Amino acid sequence: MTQAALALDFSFDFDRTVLRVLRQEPPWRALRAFQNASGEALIHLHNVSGGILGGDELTLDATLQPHAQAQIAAVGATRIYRHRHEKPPASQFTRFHVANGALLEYLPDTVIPFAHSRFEQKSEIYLDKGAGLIYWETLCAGRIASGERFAFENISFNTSIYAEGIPVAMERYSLNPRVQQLSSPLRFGPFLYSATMFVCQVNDEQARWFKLENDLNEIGGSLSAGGGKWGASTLVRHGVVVRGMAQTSHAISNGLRTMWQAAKQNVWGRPALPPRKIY
Amino acid sequence: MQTHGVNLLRLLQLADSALPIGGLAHSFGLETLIEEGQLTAPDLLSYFQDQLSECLFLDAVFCRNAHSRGLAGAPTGDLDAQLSARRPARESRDASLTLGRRFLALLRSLESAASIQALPPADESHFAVAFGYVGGALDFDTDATVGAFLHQNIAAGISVCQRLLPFGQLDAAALAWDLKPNILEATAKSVGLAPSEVSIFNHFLELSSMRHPMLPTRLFVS
Repeated sequence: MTQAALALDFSFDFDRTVLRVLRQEPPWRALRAFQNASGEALIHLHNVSGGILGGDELTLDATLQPHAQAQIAAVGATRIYRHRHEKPPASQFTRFHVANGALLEYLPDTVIPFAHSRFEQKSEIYLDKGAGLIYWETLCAGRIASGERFAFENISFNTSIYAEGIPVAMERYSLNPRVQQLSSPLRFGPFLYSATMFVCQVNDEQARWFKLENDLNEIGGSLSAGGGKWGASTLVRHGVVVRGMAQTSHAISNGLRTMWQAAKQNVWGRPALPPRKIY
Repeated sequence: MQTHGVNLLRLLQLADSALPIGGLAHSFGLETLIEEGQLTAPDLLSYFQDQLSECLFLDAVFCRNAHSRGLAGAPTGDLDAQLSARRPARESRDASLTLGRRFLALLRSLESAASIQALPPADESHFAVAFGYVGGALDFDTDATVGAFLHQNIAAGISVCQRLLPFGQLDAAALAWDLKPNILEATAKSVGLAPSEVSIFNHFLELSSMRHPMLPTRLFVS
């Protein structure tokens, strides 16, 4: 059983974002930041154990100082291994603070819950006035290529985004295939992957988000024609949420990337550069 | 506290899906699901049972928490803000707010009690919160208020299905009848829970609500 923390601090220094690793405990490993062509400091998070074991408690804490620009990605999927008897569920707690004028893009790969796994993920994002955020999370039904479908024991996600202290998005769910029919048309329907992306810029006018919602829904319509379903909606304030559901990993990652690129160009006027070439 | 006499009759009126607040104009994403063939008549019982354990259950918890605010005459702004943040699909969120606003306006026009007339004009009050608050302010029983709210929502949902699916009146009556134990179960489970303790998962319904504006023809506002 491992308790491990990773604490990162991004600051804007003259013409670029500088990363300081304040704390780094194995299995966490933050791979060196470098500046991408879009101006963000790109770092890859690496879990050297290859996944999260039952009983592991991982913590990720990142602060973006004013005007810092950071893109945090992962080197691969978050694998949740089989639960170990008499251990607590594997857990990951993520907390981000994004200051005025800063932009955080948090782009992890899919969470893959193995058969008999238990996992709890809690994410809190605090946005100051003028802060920007692109945050996504993707969950799949299991090791699809091995024929696994909803064979995990329990998966919980608890995600909250606050802008200037006021909640703008809160998502709390707990999946237990033994007591919930996950293929219900209310839940996954015919799909095996579900992705959610939040795009926020604090204090932007609500009319702007309505326009973006419409644009993203047009794109989502095209993506939906190729399998899967995609949609977007204006949040109660300061942003939009994109939801995609699909049957294949390729469809979900392709759709997510397409929506991300459209949203980033629309809101920040610059291209979204994938953190690696192959997905 | 028990609801009987005139309070019982008033609660029955509020639980009617034909209450003139516009509830029958909203499908909350159902129209997309049905239009795209993801929900058919044989699935309806399990679908509404799932609703009562997911999104309607969350509403039930908000309704119950608002009921205690109504009893105490305490403000509900924090509940409304939380519920807005927990409804990602704009159309469904706006529908819930519209129904809440109309519900409070209707109550102000019907009821002269000081607790109702003193309600602040709500810019943002979700239907679940408004219903619970009024139930508390009028001294309706808590369980009866939550159960009536769920009953109202189930009846409205079934009405949507009647208009979009080959689903007749007798089938609809039987479905509503069969769901009563599930309504009571959701009501009982909501006891003692804060909204922050409730986990729900209705991603596909939310996605369907997000995609509703893109349907080529729409019978419902949401």
